[in-house]
Amino acid sequence: MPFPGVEVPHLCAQCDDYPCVKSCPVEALSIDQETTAVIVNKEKCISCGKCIIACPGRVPFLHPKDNKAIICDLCSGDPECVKVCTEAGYNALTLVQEEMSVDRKLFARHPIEVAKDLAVNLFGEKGEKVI
Amino acid sequence: MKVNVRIFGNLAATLGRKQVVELDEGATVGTLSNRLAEGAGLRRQGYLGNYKVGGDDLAILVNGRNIHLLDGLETVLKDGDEVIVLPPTAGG
Amino acid sequence: MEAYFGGRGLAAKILWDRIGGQWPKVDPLGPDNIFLALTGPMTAIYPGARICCSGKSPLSNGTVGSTASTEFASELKMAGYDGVIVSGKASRPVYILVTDEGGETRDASHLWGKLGEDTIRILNKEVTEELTKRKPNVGLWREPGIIYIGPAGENLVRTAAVMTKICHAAGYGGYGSVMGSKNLKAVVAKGRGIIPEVDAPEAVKLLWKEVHRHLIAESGFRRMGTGYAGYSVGADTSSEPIRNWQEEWHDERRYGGPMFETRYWVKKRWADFNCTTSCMKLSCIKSGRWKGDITDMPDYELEAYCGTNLGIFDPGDNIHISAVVDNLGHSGINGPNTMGFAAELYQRGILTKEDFGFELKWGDAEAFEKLAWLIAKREKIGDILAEGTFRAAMRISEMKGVDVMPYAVQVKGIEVGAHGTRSDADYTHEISYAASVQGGDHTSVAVDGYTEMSSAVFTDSAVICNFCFFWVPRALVFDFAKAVTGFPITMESWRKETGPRIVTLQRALLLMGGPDVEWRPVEDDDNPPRFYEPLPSGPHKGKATNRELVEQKRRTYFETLGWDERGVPTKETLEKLALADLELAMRNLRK
Repeated sequence: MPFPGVEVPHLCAQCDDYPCVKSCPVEALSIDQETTAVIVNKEKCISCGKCIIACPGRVPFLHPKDNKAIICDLCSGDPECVKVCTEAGYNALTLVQEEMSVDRKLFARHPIEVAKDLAVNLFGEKGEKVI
Repeated sequence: MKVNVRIFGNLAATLGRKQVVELDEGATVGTLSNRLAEGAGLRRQGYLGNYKVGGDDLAILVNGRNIHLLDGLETVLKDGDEVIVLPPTAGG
Repeated sequence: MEAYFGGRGLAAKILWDRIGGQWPKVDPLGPDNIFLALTGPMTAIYPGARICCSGKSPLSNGTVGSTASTEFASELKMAGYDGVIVSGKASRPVYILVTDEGGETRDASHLWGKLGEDTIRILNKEVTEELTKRKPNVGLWREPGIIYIGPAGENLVRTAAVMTKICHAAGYGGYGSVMGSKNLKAVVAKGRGIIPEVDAPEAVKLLWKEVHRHLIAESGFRRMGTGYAGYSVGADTSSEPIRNWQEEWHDERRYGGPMFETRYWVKKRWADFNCTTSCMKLSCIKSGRWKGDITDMPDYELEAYCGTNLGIFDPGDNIHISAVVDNLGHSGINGPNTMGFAAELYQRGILTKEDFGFELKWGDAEAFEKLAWLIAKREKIGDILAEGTFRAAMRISEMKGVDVMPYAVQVKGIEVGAHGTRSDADYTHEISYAASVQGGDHTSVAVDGYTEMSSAVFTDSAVICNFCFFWVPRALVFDFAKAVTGFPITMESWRKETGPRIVTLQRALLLMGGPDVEWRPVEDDDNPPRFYEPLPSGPHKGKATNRELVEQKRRTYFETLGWDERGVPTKETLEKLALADLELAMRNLRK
């Protein structure tokens, strides 16, 4: 929420070319063939942060406790975030299964970039100035 | 004897805002609340609308004092008493 | 914590402990005052996270638990802290940054003078960059939580608010000016931890779902918030301030909710951390004179105070004044109360064009915008109006040789919220304000010295949002409180003990008062003179607040709380509530 009202859900897009996986020097990242999500092998992770820099959406982060990389693994296909949002009756996050004809990497954007667009959508011209 | 009753919040729509109620000597708050319910055609025993009479959510004040600090529903009323029925209110 | 819980209660206790001995001498705008921003045990765990600001109030000379909805509260907890306490004064403008590593002050000279929107924009960027620099590897830093002041607080406008998220304010009490007096522009919090442990986690999870169920069913409130009340409080309950409370009824259908919603509301379910109710809306004006203004719906209080109270009945104009007032860091209630007061004095020829530098006609949004700036910058008559309605009335009476106190709508220094008592059709009645330890604060009214102890006194100390509380069965809320803290909390214990303890302490501090004003017991425990003038219009025409009932209920109120006939807490009561150390100070007040 870089500006009040401009709240941006920050989600992994599962880029078709998986730049994070490519960037890992110790091959701690892999791809789950079924869900297409990125899987982190904690034992192998050396907390170098290269995956964070490689990600266009700045999705990975190092957990405050063990300092290992955390990347959305789609909860093995049954995402908790979707479940809880639906159960709560908000329905802001829904699970969509479809073959996308669009390059998924297009959705991998830094949240501030998304926020700037959203701000203009919400506030018109003024939105250009708030972030 | 007569007591002056004021009703606030969403109960005023059902029970009316203000009334003077005639009661027998020695009548209690319980009696009064039954009378109010009858007068409005409310059938649920021990309730005024959705609020349990004598419960925590409905404040009944006699001359400014909450009945929980008096004798609850057994509080005896006198001629000229000011009774207020106050559902929980939202301000903002 | 068991005795005072958190937020409002704990703040009063801390203030008494640390500066209580000198209380009458402490200048609220001096370095000896303490500014507190406290959470409570339930903050961020129970829906509706808020922060509670307090200190010695520059308006009442007592204390107020002044709350605002903000992620600042949840970020503070995630950083591992319950609150921030600030004493003394910085030698130059600073902001405080709280992270998992602790608290520090940082230079804010580049922020001093900035409006709300710019303050947020700059601090968001600056703090995120700084934290990324310190810990480059951790990933994306979510924005910090921020409470800040605008020019009004910086210039010690007594009614100034502590602002957050451009349109939320801890307004009552004037704590924005206390921050300003300490050269404190903002407090920023960013935590990476989790919310603190609770006593019974499984119970809390279950209870949270129950509470959530009740709140999400409040469809009316979720849909409209209080944004439709700008019309209905006038038309239906005849209790809305119009032109400084000269009237309280109107039927201006152009001021109805749909006129705001359809044209201006851009975000319709907006909330703060862990809030189910999501009653807020964001408004944006996208064309015309006021293009670019962003504020909330506005909420009812500002639809009234930045609208009808100024004779404004146009939604766009109302949104504009709300946005101006928010950006300047005025309290949206207390500031425009003084503005309405000034406009009535203009109407009566007591203040003139010369005093303002412009004409101040009712309904003129441009003029009221200028007035908001005049007060924020303390220019011309703005310097006196910046003292708040009560003190401005005293000064102007002196200056002009006319008693203008009858036009001041305030109780013990604190301007009255937008719910009048004359029609008796709203939720405020005879002693709602008159007996309250927080004066005109409409969020915490006096009822019977018992019932209200488990509502606002509780929510201000648990520090949770009233609008996540009102429709939830009380038993559920108090079970939640027990499950979080492990304390033997019940609604009854709050009504009989904890609530009265907090309110009695606040009453004592209020009566001690000083240094510029001491309230006269009973005499000042009264409604503003205007509330005894019969309503001039509408279905409740002719009604006024009943003086006899005020006296009777005030007496009963004092009795119920164990205070003497002048509302001074008795020795027995102080002992019973574990406040015996107040006895000496109270003895001096008794006759």
